[in-house]
Formats: sequence, C-alpha cells, structure tokens
Amino acid sequence: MRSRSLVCTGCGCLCDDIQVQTNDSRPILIENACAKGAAHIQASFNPERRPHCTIGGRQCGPGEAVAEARRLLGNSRNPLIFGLDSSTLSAQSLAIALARKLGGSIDSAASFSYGPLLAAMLGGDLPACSLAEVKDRADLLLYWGADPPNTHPRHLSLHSYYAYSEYNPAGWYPRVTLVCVEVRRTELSSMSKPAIRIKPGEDRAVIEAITGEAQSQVGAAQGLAELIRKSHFCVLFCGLGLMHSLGGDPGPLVRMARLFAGSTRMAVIPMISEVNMMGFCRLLHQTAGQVSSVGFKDGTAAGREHSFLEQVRRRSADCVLIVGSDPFAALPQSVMENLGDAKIVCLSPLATASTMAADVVIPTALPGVECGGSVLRMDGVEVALAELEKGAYPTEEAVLSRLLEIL
Amino acid sequence: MPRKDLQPLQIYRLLPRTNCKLCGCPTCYAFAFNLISRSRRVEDCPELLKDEFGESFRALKKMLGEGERIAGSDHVLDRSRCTGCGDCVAVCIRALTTITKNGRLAQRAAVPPPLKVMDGRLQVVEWSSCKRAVPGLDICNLCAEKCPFSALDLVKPEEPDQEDS
Ligand code: SF4
Ligand code: SF4
Ligand code: SF4
Ligand code: SF4
Repeated sequence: MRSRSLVCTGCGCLCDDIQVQTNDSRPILIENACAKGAAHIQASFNPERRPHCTIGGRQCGPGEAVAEARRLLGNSRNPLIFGLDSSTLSAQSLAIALARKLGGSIDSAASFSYGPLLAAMLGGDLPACSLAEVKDRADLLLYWGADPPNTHPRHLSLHSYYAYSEYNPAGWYPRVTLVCVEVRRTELSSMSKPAIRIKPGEDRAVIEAITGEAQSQVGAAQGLAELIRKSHFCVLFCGLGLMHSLGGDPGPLVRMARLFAGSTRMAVIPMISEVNMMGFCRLLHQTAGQVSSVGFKDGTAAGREHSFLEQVRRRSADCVLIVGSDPFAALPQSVMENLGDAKIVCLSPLATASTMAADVVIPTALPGVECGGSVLRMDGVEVALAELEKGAYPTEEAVLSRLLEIL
Repeated sequence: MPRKDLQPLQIYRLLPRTNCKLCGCPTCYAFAFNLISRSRRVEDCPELLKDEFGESFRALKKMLGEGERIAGSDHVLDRSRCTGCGDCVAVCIRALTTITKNGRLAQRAAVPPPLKVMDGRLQVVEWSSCKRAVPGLDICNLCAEKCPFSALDLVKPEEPDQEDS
C-alpha cells in the first residue's frame, strides 16, 4: 500500500491536498477530494470509462490511429483544432504549433464562455488576484451568476469563505461578507447574506445602475454598491450566468471596477470549470494576441470566423481535431449536426459523446492521474500536477508531438 | 441546515402502537427514540410494512430522511446528498489546526480533527475529538448547521430505558 499526494483535476478548483492510498496500482482510499473529484480519479481506473483506440469504429493500435489522423489532417483544406482547456500547458503549446503548421484554426470553449472576460483581464482592463490573496485579505466575496456548491464543490471550504487563515475561523466570527447575485435560489444563496435575487437578464441593468450609466434605478443596485464601497477588498467571482447574461461583453464590469478603484480594491476571478482554460487563453494571447478563435491560414488572424461555433455553423471546417474536450455533449445537437460531413479526430482520456461521434479516436493519459504537467488555475496561478500511476495510454503531448513530427 | 428537531411523541403517533416487540424494542415508544437516533430504520418494524400503515410509513420516511448514522458518532449523513464539499470539516472548531484571534495565533487545537472527507463523502474519523463526545459540550451542531445540502444531522443517542408511554 502506498500513499500519494495528488492535485485533483475534477474541476477548476484544482484542490492540491488530495491523498490517495493505492494497492496494486489501484486507488483504495481517496482522502479530502469531494464526490466529483473522487469519481474523476476513479474513472481513470475503470476500463468502461476509457475509450478504445479506433478508426471508423474498428479497433486498432495507436500507431495506426495516429497515421490515419495524420492523413486526415494532412488532406484537409480547413483543419480546425478544438478543446485543450483540460490539457497541460505543454500539450497546449504543441497544439498551437500544430495549428500553425497545418495553416488551420484553433479554438477552445473559452470563445463561448469566459474568453472575452479573460481577454479583458490579460489586457489589463480588469484587475485580478490570486486565491491565496482572497483567503487572507478579501472582506467581500461577491459571487455573481455562480453556484460553487454545485459546480466547484470545495471552492468555499478550500479557497474562499471557510478558508481564511489570518482571520478568525470563518465559521465562528465571519469578518468577511458573502454575497451572491443570482436569478434563482441556490445552495449558495441560502448561505449568503445578503443574497440578491435579480430577474433573468437583468445583470447588465444592475451593473449600469451601480455605475450610474442607467437612467432607471434597479432595486438591488443601491445596496450592492453600498456594500462594495464600504469594503476594502472585494473579489468578484464571475460565473457563467453573468457572462451569458452580458452576452460575453465584459465592458460593464470594467466600468464598475474603475468606478470603485478609488475606494475599494476590486479583483475578478472567473469561476472556470475547466482545468486549464486560463492557461490556453494566456498561451494564445502570447502567440496571437487573442485568447481564442485564432487562424493561421495567411499569417496569424483572429476573429469570429475562426471560432469553433462559427465554423461548425457555416460547415467550413472539413477536419476537426478535438483534444480533451467533449463538444458533442456540451453543445446542442442541432449545432453539432453540421459536422456531419467533416472528419473528426478525437484525443480523449475518457469515453464521451465526442469519442462516439469521432472517426478516429486516440485514447490519452488523464492529466493529474496518469501524467503530470502544469496548468493555470482560475486565478492564473500555475499548479504542477502530480502523477499517480502511469497508465497504458500515451500522453496528449506524445501524440501531438508525433503528429507534428510526421505532418 | 439540519432538519428541525424531531419529537418522539410526533413519531410515536405514526407507529402501530401495539407494543408487539417484533422490532426488538420493548415498546413502540422506545422504537420512536431509536428511529430518531437512527439506530433503527423505519423498515425494522414489520407492522409498518403492511398496506394499512402505508401512509404512516411514507410520512415517517419523509420526516426521518435518508440519513444513516455514522457508526460510533452522533452524525447522521444522507450519503446521496453529501457532495464531499468539506464545509462541515472546515467549520468544525475542533478541526482547526490553529485557532487565531485578531489575526494572531492564539492556540493550537490539541486534538486530531473529528471529521474528514473520504472517498467523496463525509466520515467521522476521530469521534473522541468531537465536542459532542464530551459530556456538557454536547450541544455543538455547527457542522450540520453549515451543510449547504442539508445532508448532515446530529442526533442524541439517548434511548428510554424503561417502558414509557
Ligand atoms: S472541488 Fe474540484 S478539484 Fe477539488 S476535489 Fe472536488 S472536483 Fe476535485
Ligand atoms: S414492531 Fe412496530 S408495532 Fe411492534 S413494537 Fe416495534 S414499533 Fe411497535
Ligand atoms: S455533510 Fe454537507 S457540508 Fe459535509 S461534506 Fe457532505 S455536503 Fe459538505
Ligand atoms: S458537532 Fe461540533 S465539534 Fe463535533 S464535528 Fe460537528 S462542529 Fe465539530
């Protein structure tokens, strides 16, 4: 029996205090991980959750599958690489190099979720802070359109409300105010004081009422503005609910942060669920000046026409390489149906709807369980993953660099 | 938030009240105490499984929830609701490795933490550390109060010794 420390890659929290006891290279006891994380770690040891290496549904060896992937990508006129938000930084840079070599496009789920917000943060328009700073200094935790008890189970106990080390234990004399802005009742709203309930789609109006841009007053705005003004350090945890309601436009948040800049330190942390969306956006930003939807056909270009959704809608991509992502489960079927004629190559550690739809499936090692690597957490801090047991599968890095080599 | 305190009489009214002893308790009233402390399950009364008590059975199930006693503790956990979020572990005053006052270290907790999340669900790993294991301090229910999913309850293990009605 061995005991190992692990970083959980079950969600964006990347909890680094997981202990796993293994016997005969199988986990027999997982300590500290939440139910979601424990299931994630166990999944890699369950053969039924792992995909087979296949070409057109026929099982084959990895060498053959990589050769077929190479053929499909090489023959493609408009190759598209998608996913990568759960891959390590080194796999991500290899994928960017591959897209460049192919003259194709590359995109991640950030283009329809946190992309614009991350662009504003990386561009310096929105202030950021680390989760380590949050738990020692922040006195106002503002969750907006986010429901961490359901999406990031240990976010509050490990990174925020219950994690204060310098303060008195939060459970006893909370000096920190937990506020949530939500359109419905959630587990978080029952813990928050106050819990601000707004109407669906009202987010922009509330922010504009706070910044004074709006003509009419929205009930919730005044109290919220007062709370922020009175606090010294307010951290805004920005959820997908807020992003979608703002139509992906971080402008109102930028103006709100500027408004309070004089009195309150305000920082934004996106509640990213993926393990390394932050890393991919930063890498692409460094390479191409954009956080998502980049094309390398004639030089480097970025824009809507290079986004995954747009290319799928217009049926312009004829070969899609999906890396560690599951768009077939995440996006509506009516959208994905447009990929009917395109060839799909899928690199995935687990069996998903996307591996079922793919023409070529290459199973890979699960980052954080079967291989190490580095990722950027939601607050932009680099986290080194540990390896529990080397499995039978090649890493994404190995497959991508092999493709890069033979193309 | 824990479920609101259950009263033995409230439970007793829903039982068959025949004192047939098939459940292993001397009386139905004693069985009611056992249900509250979760040392017995509703299914343990064979009378309640009959059709005529169907309504009482369902009402009792609803009142008592799906929680099961974690052996050797006062903690009653509904494993299907527990997400392993660890909020209860974090708020337990006995689990803190350091107790600070005004930002300074005031005291180190002298005992190993009572609670821990194992295989994704809450476990009581050191019952003797829990305040409730200490006579006179057994009113603590912070962990159950802070559970965001109402998965945790705390019960008093006491049972009536003699017949009572
Ligand atoms: S909160 Fe997320 S990272 Fe932490 S243990 Fe649960 S699934 Fe894993
Ligand atoms: S088996 Fe049921 S009816 Fe009989 S004593 Fe126990 S609780 Fe009462
Ligand atoms: S009992 Fe409640 S607070 Fe404790 S780990 Fe389970 S869900 Fe979280
Ligand atoms: S009852 Fe009190 S001391 Fe015992 S585990 Fe819960 S919070 Fe800790």
